[in-house]
Order: sequence, then structure tokens, then C-alpha cells
Amino acid sequence: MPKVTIKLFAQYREGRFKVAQKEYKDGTTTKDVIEELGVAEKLPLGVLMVNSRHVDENYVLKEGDTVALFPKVGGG
Amino acid sequence: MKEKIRKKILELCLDEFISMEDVKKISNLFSINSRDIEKISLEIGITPFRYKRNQATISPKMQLTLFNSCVAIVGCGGLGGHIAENLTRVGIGHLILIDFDTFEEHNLNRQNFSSYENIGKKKVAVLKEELLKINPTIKIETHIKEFIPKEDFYLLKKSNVIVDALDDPKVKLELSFLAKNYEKNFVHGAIAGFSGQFCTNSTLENLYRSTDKGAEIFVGNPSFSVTFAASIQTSEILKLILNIGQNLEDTVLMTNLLENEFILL
Repeated sequence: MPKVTIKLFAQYREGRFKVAQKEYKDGTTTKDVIEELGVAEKLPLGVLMVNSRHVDENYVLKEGDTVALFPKVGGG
Repeated sequence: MKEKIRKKILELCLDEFISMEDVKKISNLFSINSRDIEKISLEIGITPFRYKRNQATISPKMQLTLFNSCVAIVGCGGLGGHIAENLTRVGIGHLILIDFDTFEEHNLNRQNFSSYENIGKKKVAVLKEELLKINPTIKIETHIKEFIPKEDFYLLKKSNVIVDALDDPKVKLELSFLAKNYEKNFVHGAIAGFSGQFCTNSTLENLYRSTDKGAEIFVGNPSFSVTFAASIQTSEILKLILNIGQNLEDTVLMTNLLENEFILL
């Protein structure tokens, strides 16, 4: 049951949080976290990092990880 | 002939600066265009007066380097229009502007030189006209076309820096890979609402894991985010050309003006 820190940025914070500590089931992936939070339902996901490294959505969470989620920014 | 021009420049200059009026005089006298007169002037350390307040941040030698540089701006909407003006004022000698679009009423909140008068006009044509009013001696090349990276990359080959001022993640991503393959300097910027992101000489796969549009579709692009982003990109371009300071290489700058967060990833 890894305990992890979730950090949300920009519009993902609206109605949610900036930082939260959460406990997940073993085998939980970053994709599961994104779906649970519902962040990407409206605003597509941009940067996804765990412990300051870019990861893909299949990353399996480990004890003490810090996950950072940013909405995609594409305007010119 | 060149020696005579040099002498005339030295005769007319004041405290190592020369006015546009005097550049034009010399241009008429020797039947050589103003651009070439300014180049000769910069080569002997006499700076056109319009750049007076660039100094000492930008030395006369740096000013010559900027004059001899070429920057390609891909996309001339919000970011591109303001970057183009910044580069014009700072003294980049050659700009390549690429955009297919015409000004529409919904551009007026942010796009440089958009006005009711210019609605329906091609953005790059308006930009060229307005930029030459500010700085008549720069060379501006325009391409009115939708930029397709693989087909149109050749348009960027003579540039020292390629600027990503596009609004489509798919094209941004493709352009970043082409720039890397051809070893071209590449300055990325994008905005959405109060947010921005910037990086230099990196490919964008970590920023655009899918090619659909971003948060900007829902939160828009307000004027202050656009001009802020254009300034960050402009300073990245200058640092690359002048080989000074530190660029956003091997990192990404994420900005959030709403909460004053500036994070280097």
C-alpha cells in the first residue's frame, strides 16, 4: 500500500488541491491516479512526472513517490 | 567606396550613434540601400540610434551579430506577432515569418497589430508592413501558407534559430524533432490561460504525449500571458544568438501567473 504525494498544477487545482498525501493499493499506476482524480476528463494531460522525472502512464507507484500532473499547454 | 561610406558615417555620427535620417542621407549619396549602410556602420562600431537604449545590455559588437542573424518564426498569431516585434526592435537583421491565417475579430484580445482595420488581412503581410515602420533596415521574408513540417522545413534552413509560435501540439512536436535532426536551434513556447511552458533545443514528446489540443481550448489565451511568453521566448532567442547567459536547455520552465509559480522541471 504505497503512500505517495500528489502535486497538481495550474487548472488541475481548481476544485481539487495543490498537494495531497494519498495511499494506494499495490500495483496502482499513474494512469489509475489520473482517472481517480478525473483531471484529464476535461483538460488533457501534459507533463507527468514522478520524483521529478518524466514517466509514462503505466508507471507503477512506489512508497514515497511524488507525482506531478500538469495540464497540456499548447496555445500560441 | 566602402572607405568613403565609412568616412561619411564617422563624419555624421554623434557619440558613436547614427540617426536614420543620416543613414538615409548616406544611402542617397552613394546609391546604396540603408540596410547596407547600417551594416557598414555597425562594423565600425557606430550603432543606429534606434538601438541606443539596447546598450550596454547589447554592445555594438553584439548588435552587429544580431544584424547578421536570421530568425524563423513559425506561426504568427499571438506569440509570433509579439516575438516578431521584439526581435525587430532589438535588431535581428533577418526575419522569416510563416502563417496562413487572416486576422479575425477574436484575435483582437492579444494578437499584435490586429485591429478592426486589419480584419480579413493576412497576418504576415500586416506584420511585415508594421515591422518595417519600426525598423526599415531589417529583411523580412514572408510565407503565407499552412506550415507542414516535413514539406516546409526547407524554408527554415537559413535561420539561426527556429521559433515555435504554433498553436497545434501535433505540428509543434513534429517541428521539434525536425529541428533536432537538422541541428537547428529551437525555442518552444506555449500558453493556456494564466499558464505557460518554455524550453530550448529539446524535443517535445514529454510535453505532448498526445497530439490533441491543450487546456487553451477551454481557458483561452489572454493578452498578458501571450506577451509574457513572447518575452521569455525572445530572451531565449537572443541568448542563443549571442551565446550569453543560460538557456532553458535540458529543462522545461512551467509558469503560472495566477499563483506566481515559475518552476524549472
